[in-house]
Amino acid sequence: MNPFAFLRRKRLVRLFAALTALLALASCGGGGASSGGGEKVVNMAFTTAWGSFNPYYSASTTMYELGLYDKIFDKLVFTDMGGAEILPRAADSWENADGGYSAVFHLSEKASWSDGEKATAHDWVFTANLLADPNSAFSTRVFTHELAGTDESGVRVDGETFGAEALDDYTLKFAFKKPMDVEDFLLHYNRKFLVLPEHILGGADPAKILEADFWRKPIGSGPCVYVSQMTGSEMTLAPNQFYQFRDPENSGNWDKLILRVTDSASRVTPLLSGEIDFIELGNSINPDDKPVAESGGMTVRAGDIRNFFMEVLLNESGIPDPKIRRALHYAIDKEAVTEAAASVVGTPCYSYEMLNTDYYDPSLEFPRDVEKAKALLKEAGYDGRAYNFAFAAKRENIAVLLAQQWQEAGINVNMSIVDVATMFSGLSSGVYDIGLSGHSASAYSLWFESEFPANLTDAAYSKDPVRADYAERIAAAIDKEEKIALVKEYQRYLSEQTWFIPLYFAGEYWVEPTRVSGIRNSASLMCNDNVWEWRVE
Amino acid sequence: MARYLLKRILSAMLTMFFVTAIIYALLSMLQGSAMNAMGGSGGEMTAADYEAARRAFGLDMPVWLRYLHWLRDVLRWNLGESYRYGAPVGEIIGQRFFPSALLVGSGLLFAVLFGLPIGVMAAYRPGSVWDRISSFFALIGFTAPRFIICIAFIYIFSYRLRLFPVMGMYGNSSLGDLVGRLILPASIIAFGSMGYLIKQTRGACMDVFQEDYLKTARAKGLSEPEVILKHGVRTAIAPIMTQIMLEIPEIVGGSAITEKIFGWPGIGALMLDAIRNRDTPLIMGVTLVIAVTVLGANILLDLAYGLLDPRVTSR
Amino acid sequence: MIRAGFLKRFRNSKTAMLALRFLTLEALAVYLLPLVFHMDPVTSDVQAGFYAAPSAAHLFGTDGAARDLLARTLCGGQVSLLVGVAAPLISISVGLPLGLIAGYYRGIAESLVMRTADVFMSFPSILLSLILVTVIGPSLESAVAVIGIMGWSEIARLVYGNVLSIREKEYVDSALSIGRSDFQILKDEILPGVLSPVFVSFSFRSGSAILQESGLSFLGAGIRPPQASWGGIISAAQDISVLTRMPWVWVPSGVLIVLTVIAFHFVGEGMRDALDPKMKL
Repeated sequence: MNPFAFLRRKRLVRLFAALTALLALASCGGGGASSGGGEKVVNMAFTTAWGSFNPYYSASTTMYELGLYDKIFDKLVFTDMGGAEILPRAADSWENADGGYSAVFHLSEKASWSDGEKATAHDWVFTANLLADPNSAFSTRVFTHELAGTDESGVRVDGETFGAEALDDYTLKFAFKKPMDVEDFLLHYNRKFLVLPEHILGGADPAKILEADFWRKPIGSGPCVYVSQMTGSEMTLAPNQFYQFRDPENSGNWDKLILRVTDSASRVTPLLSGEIDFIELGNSINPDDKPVAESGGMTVRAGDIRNFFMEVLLNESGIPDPKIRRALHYAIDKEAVTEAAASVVGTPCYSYEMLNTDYYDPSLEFPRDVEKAKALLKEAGYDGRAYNFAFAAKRENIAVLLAQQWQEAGINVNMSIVDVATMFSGLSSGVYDIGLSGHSASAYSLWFESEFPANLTDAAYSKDPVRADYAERIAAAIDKEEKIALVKEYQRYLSEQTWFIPLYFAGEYWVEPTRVSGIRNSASLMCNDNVWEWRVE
Repeated sequence: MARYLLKRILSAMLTMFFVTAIIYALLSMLQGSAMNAMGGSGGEMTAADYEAARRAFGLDMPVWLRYLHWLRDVLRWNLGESYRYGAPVGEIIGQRFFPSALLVGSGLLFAVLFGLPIGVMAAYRPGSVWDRISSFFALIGFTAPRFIICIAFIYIFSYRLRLFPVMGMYGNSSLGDLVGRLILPASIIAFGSMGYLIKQTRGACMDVFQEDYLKTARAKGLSEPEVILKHGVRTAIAPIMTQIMLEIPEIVGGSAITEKIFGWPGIGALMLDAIRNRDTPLIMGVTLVIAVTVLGANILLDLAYGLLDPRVTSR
Repeated sequence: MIRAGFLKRFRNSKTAMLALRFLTLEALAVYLLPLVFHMDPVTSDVQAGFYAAPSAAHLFGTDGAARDLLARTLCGGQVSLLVGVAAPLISISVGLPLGLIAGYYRGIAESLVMRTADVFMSFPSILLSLILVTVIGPSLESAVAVIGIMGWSEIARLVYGNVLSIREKEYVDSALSIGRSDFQILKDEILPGVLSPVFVSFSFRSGSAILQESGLSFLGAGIRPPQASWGGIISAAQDISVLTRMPWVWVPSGVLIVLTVIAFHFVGEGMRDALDPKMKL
């Protein structure tokens, strides 16, 4: 017998039903109890609450929020297999042009905003213009610094031709400052580049765009339409009837997609209780929870891709000496940390590059060396100060191990448990010196470039000319061998500077959803969900 | 009566002013972090941006002035916007109010429905097995931490006995399901406040049951259940109401942890998240709502008490 | 203050004596055992494994960072007992003088102190403590300070009430008419009368201070890692695997919290009954 049936059991429920129904009716009367009425509902769990609907202005820009934007706004393409496979979404096809200096996207002619208006190349150009606007109130420009006619930070330069252009209603062209592989472009920026409607936001002043009512009740050309939300806890979405992949025969059959914020300490609980059908980012669970999930009758399999990258973030302004940063690296026993966090599905790592790619360089690996760490500290004149180490509650076990290992080398830390957003803001404002962060890696050789600066903006990392030069040369390299050689050099440079400490790559245990079929787990990890194909029993 | 009520309301408003002022002052020491949560997104914030944002949020004003502005906005029915969620605080709280009211309301109802008879029965036969069992439960009720009760209840009733689901408020959106999900957390709230309730009821009834007029009542031929109901329960109501009145803040605080553990989308869990996120406007909004609820409930109970026992209002 | 009959009456209460013995034993255990057996609550034993079941090497098993749970439970006990003693002391040192002043001088002092007490008592203390701890920054010291300060209002009320009733008695008036200073009257005539209830409430406050600390630690806002505390240990049970499959992680600390709080409660009741059974507390 299924020992976790209790999570769904309703035996005593009827007994109390009469009593409490009375109460439920008596108190306020509103909300709460609405009848199901044969509606097909998919319940999806988010482990962290989303902030605003604005993909270009949010308090935390975490993967969790990207997962929400993905539902409402459309992206150019759909990336699967940890980013290795690129499939059409708003764009049917794409190619390089002008000898790599530009990319052309042939957009779907069926794409439409959820209010029925056609979505065209002009909307994409409009969005790029908003991002590059000198007065833009958005907090990010995502990719516009790659486009011709902008300065280094991506601001449009007066008198130059801006590199975003609609060749016709359904052909979008981006002109780059230097050659760039269109697939690299997509792997790198697609996830964070979501199209906004010109017909609604077109008249708004870019400096005051945050004030638009639009962000309360957004209209997108993505697969879902916003219906309602209970801020910080629940959001209801309906299918966008006009979505380009939607056809009555083959596409998804759900009527409502409910996003629920659940505590990450209990990922399996809501799955077992049937409250949740699918957990964002691939329905993965903690390895420790595998036995519980299996005894609850769920099918659990180990992920095929180890793309969950765990790193120690070092704040350059708090720890300016690279020797101390390297000492922190040498003092870590990655085997133990990996064991504590990911047991059998984790592998210790020394770079951000995924283990199975051509870019991975085993010569970067080194064993733990406490003596070397001590020597480095001595050389650097470490004064025994305690660094402020912040991390989310769910990473406490890793943090505790790290702190002990550093202690063995003579490095002191003060630990604070904070939420993820507080950690990042504290790191960028200098309150914290050390943090812990996980990322979904992709096959793109420079994926980490876009992750790292977003977290630690004041780090020398983003301003370092050598690093920037490497990044540019790698992005521009078309020859595979040359690229591999460059990426390896670049990784060596990063390892010497140690702006961050790679800990491990983990695959995850995935739970097969029981009620919903057609989910692509490997794409979900990249904050892509093919919700338009999901089918409920 | 009307004068008494007016006096109570004025003093409640004064208390509310102080509660919000104290918490506002405390939170002002956190503002820096809230600013970061706001600007830390893409994070390309320069010193000039920071100053501009500070001015935009009015953070360049002294604390007391900001507090007065906040108060003015509250009187205009505007609680501001949450830093973390970017939505109006009033709207966020509005959505969370019903779940909390349902949970705390059912919890209190359970507490009274079970606590009252248990206390009366215990007083009826002091020293009996029933009395011992009930005082043991009362003891656990007011000594065990709320989170331990939650964990123990989940372990026993959901995992071992498999009676109730564990998480959240909304399952398949049917009423039966809602009730099923309500029972466990509501019982925990009831369990927590039942301890003192049983103790109080028992104490009050003991006094009554020993008084002479009960003997008279019995002598007059009233049956035992009638005696218990008429004299016992009726006498117990006043002290129970005092007890509930005293306990309301703790019930609200305790329900926060219960809501958090059970993933119940209520005000208390919202407050815990808001504090963790350092979301000042939201914390202030919830503070106000909790203070209004606590003080309002106190006044209402006080009035009801006065109706039962007119001496109170004339003191 | 402690009259001769007090100890005798207290000893006659079986539950109170049992509770006192338990607390003494517990205090000895949590402070001495880690010293005697050189227990280490903060170092991971990676060889033993993470969340390892109880074994000869780790009698209570290990936690998610492979730390010995027996050592952590004992050190968590040190934290709880420390909070249980230190926090009420702070409450009393704030609440007692304020209550005396409010009750003795009446007037402005009375309304100022008692209004403020109302403010503190009309807001859930766990939420207020959480805000305070977030502002100060979590640590053992701030938890003790916050919980101590949060408890002042109850003590002040208690003292205030007692002072009022003592004031009405004649000997204060006679003292006044002799022309003794306020301070002397407070010290000699009033203070002795209010000390007994304060003394009793100390024990009750200890229990609730321990409850508060464990609640804060459970929410991750009490002590700082890697220090151990019962609430922090139990918070691991929010994970369903730990809750259902590893009861050794959370059961000992859970049982100990409950027993400790109950013991303080019984000691308080014992003291109350020994001092004055009619005392309302």
